[in-house]
Amino acid sequence: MDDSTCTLRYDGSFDGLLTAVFERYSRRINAESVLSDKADIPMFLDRVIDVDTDEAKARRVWNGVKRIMTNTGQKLLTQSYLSAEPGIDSSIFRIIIKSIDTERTVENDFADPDVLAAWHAARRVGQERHQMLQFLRFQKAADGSYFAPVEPRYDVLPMAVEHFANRFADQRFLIFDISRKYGFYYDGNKTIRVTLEGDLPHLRSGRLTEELMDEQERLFQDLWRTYFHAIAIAERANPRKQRHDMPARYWHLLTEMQSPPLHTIPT
Amino acid sequence: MTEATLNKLKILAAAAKYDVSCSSSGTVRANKSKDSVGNTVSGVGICHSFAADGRCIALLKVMLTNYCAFDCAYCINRRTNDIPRATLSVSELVELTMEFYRRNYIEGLFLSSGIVRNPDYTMERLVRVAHDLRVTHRFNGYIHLKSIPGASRELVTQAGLYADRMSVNIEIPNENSLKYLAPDKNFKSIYQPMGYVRQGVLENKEDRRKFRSTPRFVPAGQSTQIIVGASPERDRDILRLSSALYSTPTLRRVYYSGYIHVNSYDTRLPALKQPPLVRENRLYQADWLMRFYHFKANEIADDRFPDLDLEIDPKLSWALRHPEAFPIDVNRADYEMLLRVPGIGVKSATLIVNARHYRRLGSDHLKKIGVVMKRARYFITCGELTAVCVADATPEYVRRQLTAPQSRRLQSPPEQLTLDFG
Ligand code: SF4
Repeated sequence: MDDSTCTLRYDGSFDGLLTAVFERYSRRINAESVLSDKADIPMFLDRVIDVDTDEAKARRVWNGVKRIMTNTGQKLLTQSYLSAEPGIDSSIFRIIIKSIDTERTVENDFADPDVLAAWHAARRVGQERHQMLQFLRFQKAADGSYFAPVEPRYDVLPMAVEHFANRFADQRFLIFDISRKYGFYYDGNKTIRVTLEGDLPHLRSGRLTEELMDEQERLFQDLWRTYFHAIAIAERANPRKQRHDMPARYWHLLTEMQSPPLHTIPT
Repeated sequence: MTEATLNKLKILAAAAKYDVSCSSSGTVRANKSKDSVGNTVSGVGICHSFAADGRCIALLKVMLTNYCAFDCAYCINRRTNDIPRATLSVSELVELTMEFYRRNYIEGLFLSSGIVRNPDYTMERLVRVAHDLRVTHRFNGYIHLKSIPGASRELVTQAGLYADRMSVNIEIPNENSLKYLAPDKNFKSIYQPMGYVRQGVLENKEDRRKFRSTPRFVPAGQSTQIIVGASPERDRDILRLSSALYSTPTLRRVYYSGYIHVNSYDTRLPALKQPPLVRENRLYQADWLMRFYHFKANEIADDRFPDLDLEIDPKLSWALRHPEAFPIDVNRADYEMLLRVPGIGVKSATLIVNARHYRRLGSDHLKKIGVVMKRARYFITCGELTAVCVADATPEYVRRQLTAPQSRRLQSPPEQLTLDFG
């Protein structure tokens, strides 16, 4: 090995990223950054070493991380990783290395650009999860179960599903990520991951068809829309704040943002 | 549940909309059983939607009825108004809550009511809704009930067994003004139910010490609302009242509601063309300072400055009145002092205190951490920085710099004081 730094290429998985940390130490590679094989290789990179994901090695690194970093710090790494932002993997890589080298977690060193980048990414992911708790809407199906389509920017459904299983413990439901084409089904006892192939229209459109819908579903959607419009104070109209707190990218799946109630009631 | 319910819901939601509280915060309760529904989660609660006025919708906020025997001048539902009236039945309210909740539209129910026949008759029906939700439907989500002014201790105490939060709105911050505008009310009719709840909570604490299984009583405490601008009270008076309320054991939130001129025929009320939204926002900021920034009411407004500055936020206003307190050394000052710096919020103060364990912080670090340097630079030193300090540059100069037209965005509150109106 000469001393010039190089980049480790891994398969884009979190385990792969941890394996890269392992190889850096065990093979004494002078690497300061990583590169997912899903990303395009920047032109100026000439020294790239490939790393084969190895669960055992990854686990050893993670155990090391757990020894040094707090729970918050660990969550910072896993959560910021989900953002899949370009370069965030390298930041995570360097945070782990710095913490291992100094035998002290750097998770609170907010003046370190990598730490700050990870916090920002983790916050965005956490916010995306929170918005799923806010804006997910169930529709009741004729068989008594509930269906909700989601389309999050980051892959946060696995982080959110437990909330719904706890809250709606007595209610069977399917939450489906219509862009990533997988979901979770809760049967009243446990949650299972499902990938439904085939062409079910509501898994594409996010809307139950008339035959699949509970007979009262329309009425409750109308009631909710009626409520939504009646609760706003006209003298305080503030569309900017509404849009800021409820970004437009969620609107197509929000019951209340669909066309106004069919039954227009005179005031 | 039929389509007739639609019409009633429309009337009774519109009747409830001037009550600004909609928060589902203040309590954490897990759903421990597989055959009950609902829980309350930690933090600030969950806003499920945002109405066209930008306000959070967390709860189904509705009145049981908007018939009312009282005649409060500021209220749309007063007896003398000729408006559509409606009443939702107990079962309709229960079903609406359950069905909305199961679809993840809401965190729970916020139920209030006009006063029909007498306070106890009304309170009893509120209690029945809460009872049916909790007992018959095993509903474990959030319930906020109004304590009806003048309701008996028994009923208020019963309500407290099912409710997460209870509230009585003071509305008018001075007793004489209250009696003038709401002849059927006085401070006693408002403070008495508040006192019942407070006592209930304290007794419940005792009981829970002895028997851990005793169910909690109004775990999210009480809140209240003050209408701003319907009566002549100054901000100083309002903040004093709020601060006195916050010093009582169970009061968690005071809401401020800019007066909307709903009964323009009533000459006891000022003819406001626009609700005083800026003033309302300043009061929320001041309230925020008292609850999270360790400010006292009289530091924010006192006899010399009885009203909040509408042009700048109350924290900047305090700083400009106290140039002698600055500059503050960010690398040494304690957390409390950092909080006093305009441009440093709770979050950035925490980050600073953490980050300076690792290194000395310069202005670049501060910027990245989220300090609004445009404001903060007049009030801090961090070694390398040579900006003018407010103490030398004079408060007037700093004020002009910070309120210059290009930097003024009246719509958005200052950076470190973004508020949720939930
Ligand atoms: S008692 Fe309540 S509902 Fe009735 S008029 Fe007064 S404020 Fe309005």
